[in-house]
Amino acid sequence: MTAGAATAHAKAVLGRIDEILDLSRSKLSQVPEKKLTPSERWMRLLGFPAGVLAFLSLYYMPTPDGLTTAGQVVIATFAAALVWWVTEPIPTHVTSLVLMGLLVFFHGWDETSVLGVLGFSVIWLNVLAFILSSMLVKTNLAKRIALALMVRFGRRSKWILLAFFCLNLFLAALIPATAARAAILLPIMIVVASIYGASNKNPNNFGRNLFLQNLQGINFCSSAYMTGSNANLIAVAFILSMSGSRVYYTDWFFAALPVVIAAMLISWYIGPRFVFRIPPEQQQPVVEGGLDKMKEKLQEMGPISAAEKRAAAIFGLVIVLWVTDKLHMNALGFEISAVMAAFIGAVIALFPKIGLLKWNEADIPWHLMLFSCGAYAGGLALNDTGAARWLVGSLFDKMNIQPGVNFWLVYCVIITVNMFSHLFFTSKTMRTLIFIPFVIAIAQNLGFDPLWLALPSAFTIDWVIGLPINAKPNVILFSTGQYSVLDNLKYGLIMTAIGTVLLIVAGLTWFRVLGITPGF
Amino acid sequence: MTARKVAIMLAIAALTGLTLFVISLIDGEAFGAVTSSGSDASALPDTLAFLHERITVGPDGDAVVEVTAVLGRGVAGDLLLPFDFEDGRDLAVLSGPARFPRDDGGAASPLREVLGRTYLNLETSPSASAGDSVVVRAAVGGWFDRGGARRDYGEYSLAIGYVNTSRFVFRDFSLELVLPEGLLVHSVTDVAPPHDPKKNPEPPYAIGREADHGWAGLRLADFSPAETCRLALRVRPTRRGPIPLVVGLAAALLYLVFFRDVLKPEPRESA
Repeated sequence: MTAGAATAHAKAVLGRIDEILDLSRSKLSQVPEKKLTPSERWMRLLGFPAGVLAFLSLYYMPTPDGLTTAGQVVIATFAAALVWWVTEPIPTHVTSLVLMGLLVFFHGWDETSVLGVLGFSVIWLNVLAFILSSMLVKTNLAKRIALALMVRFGRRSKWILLAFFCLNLFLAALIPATAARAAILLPIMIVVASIYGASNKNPNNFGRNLFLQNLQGINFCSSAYMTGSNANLIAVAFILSMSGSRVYYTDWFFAALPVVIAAMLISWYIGPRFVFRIPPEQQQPVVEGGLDKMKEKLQEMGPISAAEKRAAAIFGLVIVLWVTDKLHMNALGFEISAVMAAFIGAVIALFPKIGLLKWNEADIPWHLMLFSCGAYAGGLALNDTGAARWLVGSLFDKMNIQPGVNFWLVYCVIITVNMFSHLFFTSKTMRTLIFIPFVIAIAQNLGFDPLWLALPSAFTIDWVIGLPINAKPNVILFSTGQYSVLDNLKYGLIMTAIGTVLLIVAGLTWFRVLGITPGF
Repeated sequence: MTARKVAIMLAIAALTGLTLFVISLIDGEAFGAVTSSGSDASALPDTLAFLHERITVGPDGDAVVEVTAVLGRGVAGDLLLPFDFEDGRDLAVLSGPARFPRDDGGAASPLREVLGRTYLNLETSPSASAGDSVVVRAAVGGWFDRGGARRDYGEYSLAIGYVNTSRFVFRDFSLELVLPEGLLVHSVTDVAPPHDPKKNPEPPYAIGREADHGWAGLRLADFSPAETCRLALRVRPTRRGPIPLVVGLAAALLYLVFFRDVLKPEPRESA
C-alpha cells in the first residue's frame, strides 16, 4: 500500500468518537464471525481429522510402563483438543465440550469431577470479573480512564503499548491474582483498542499487540516478584524443604526483575514491528479529529458523575481487598480470597437501588466459561491421573542426564523444558508441583546445588503465554475476540523462546553475580 | 443399716476385682502375644528393616501371596506378622532363619488368630540376627472375587490394604499387587494415607506394567503399629474395542466431506 493509499484508507476508516466508544456494539457475550486467511481455512479443514488421528493413535498405543490407562485416555483427549483449539475446525468452546465428553465416555475422569469444574473458583472469578467490567463500561468510568490514558500516552500506538506494560509491572507488585489484574485492565483495553480501530468484529494488528502484550505483561510480570503468584511461593517452599536453601523476597526480586524488564522491552519492540506489524494507519487513533477530539471528549464528559463515583467506590473496594489479602487474617480474623472479593463487588454492583447494573446489562461470555471448563478439566485430569507427572518424568528419563555432565548444558535443557512445558498445562500451581521437585532431584543426583537449577526454573513458572488455555488471564483476554488461538501461539512461542534465551544469558551473567548460579 | 451398706459395697468391689482377674487370665496370653516384645521391655520399638507383601493374581483369580521380612531390632522368638488371608493354604517358609511352630500334635501351625485377626505365625531361630531375610509364600483361592472386585463397564474395582497390628515398626514397607495377564491399572481411586503433593512431591504409590501384566504398589517408611494403608484401583483389560476406531475414522471422513466448503472464500472476498 502506498503512502497516499494508506492515508486514504485511514481517512475512510476514521470514525466518530461516539460510535467508536459505543461498546454495546461489540458485546463479549456474542461470538464474532472470523475472517479466515487461505492457510487458516486449510488448517480448519484438516484440523479435525488431525485431532481424531492424534486421539486414536495415542488411545490405541500400548499403555507405557508407569502410566494408568485413564492417564492414557486423558493424554489422547488433551492432545486432540490441543490440535482443535489451535486449528479451530470447531469453535473453541465446542472443543472444550467434546473434550469433557470424551473424558467421561472413555473413563479418563469421572463425570462428577468433569462437570464439577464449572463450579471452580476460577470460573466464578471469570464471571464476577466480567460483571465488574460491565459495570465500569456502563458507567463510562472505563471510557474516562481509557481517554485519560490516551490523551497522556496515545499520540502513537507504541507509547500506549509501553504504558500498559508499565502498568502491569506496577500492578503485579500489588495484586498477586493475575485474573484480577486482567479484570482491572480489560475494560480499559477494550476502549483503547476501539480508539485504534480494533474490535472483535474487525480485529487488527494494534489490537493483537495490545491484548497479547497485556497477556504477556500480566503473566510474566508476576515472575518479577516472589509474591507475584501463589505458584512462586510454592516453588520457594519446595526449594527450602527439599534443598534447605532459603530464598528471600529481595533475592527473587533482584534476580528476576531485570529479566522481566528486558523481556517486556523486547516484546514491546518486536511485537508491532515484526510479529504483528502495525501499519501506519493503525499507529494513530482512528478518531475523527485525532487526539484533540479525544481531549475534547474527555472535557465534554465533565466532572466525574455520581454513577462513576459509585462504580469507582465498588471497584476500589474490590481492589483494596485484593491488595490487602495478606492482612485480612490479622485485621478481620478471616481471609477474603480474590474470588470472594470480586463476589462482594459483583453483589453490590447488581444489588437493586444500591448497585449500578441490571443482570441483562452484564456482558458475560458464557462460551468462554465453557472453554475454560474444558481446559481446566483436561489439565486437572492430566494431574489427577498422574499423566502429567508421568510425561514430565519420562521426558527427563529420556534425556538420561548422567553425573559428570556439564552444568550449563543441564541448565539450558532444564530452562528450555520448563519454559515450553507451559503449553501443555492449564495451571501454574500444577506445573510447579510437578516440575520443581523433579529439578531439585535432578540437581541432587548430579551433585549440583539445587538452588542453581531450581530458582531459575521457578522464574519460568509465570511464563504461561502460549495459549488461551494456559492461564486464567489468557482466557479473560481471549474473550475479547481480538486475536485467534494461532495469533496467541505465534507471539507466545516467539516470546517463550526469547524468555528462554534471556534466562540462559542471565544464568551465565547476572545470576552468577548474585550467587544463584555457580560463580566465576 | 450403715454396716450393711458397707458390706454390699465391699462385696461389689470384690466381685469387680475378681471379674477383672478372670478376664486378664483368659485374654492375657493373647493380648501379650501381640503387644509384648518377647524380649526385655525397652524404650526403643522393635523393628523390621523391611516388610514386603506381594500379591500375584493368576488368570483364574487365585493369588500367590509372598511376604518378605528383613529382620531388625528385637525379633528373637515369636514373629507374628499381620496376614489378611485367613483362608491361605500351602503356606511355606521359602527361605530365612524362621519356621512355623508345631502344635501339640507335631503339625506346623502357620497361621494364628489373635483377637479376630490372622497372623503369620513364625518363630525365628536362635541364630537369626538383624538383616536376615525371611520369605513366606501362601496360596489364596478366589482372591479376585474375595477382594470385592466388581465389574463396572468393563472395569474392576480392587483394593489392597494392610493394617499393622504387629508390635513392629516397619522401617520400609511395601505392598504390591500384580494383576492377571491382560489387565492393567486404569486408575488409582483412593490412597491411604492420603497424598499431599505440597508436602511430599513423590506419591506413596507406583503403578507399572511388566509384559502384559499391570501392577500397583504402595511404599511407606516407618509404618508403625496401628497404622493403616490402602490402595484402591480400577483395572481394565489391555485390549481396546474397535468401536472408537471406527467411529473416529468415520467422523473424520464425514467432516472432510461435509465441511469442505470451509475452503471456499467468503462471498465478500470473491466479490
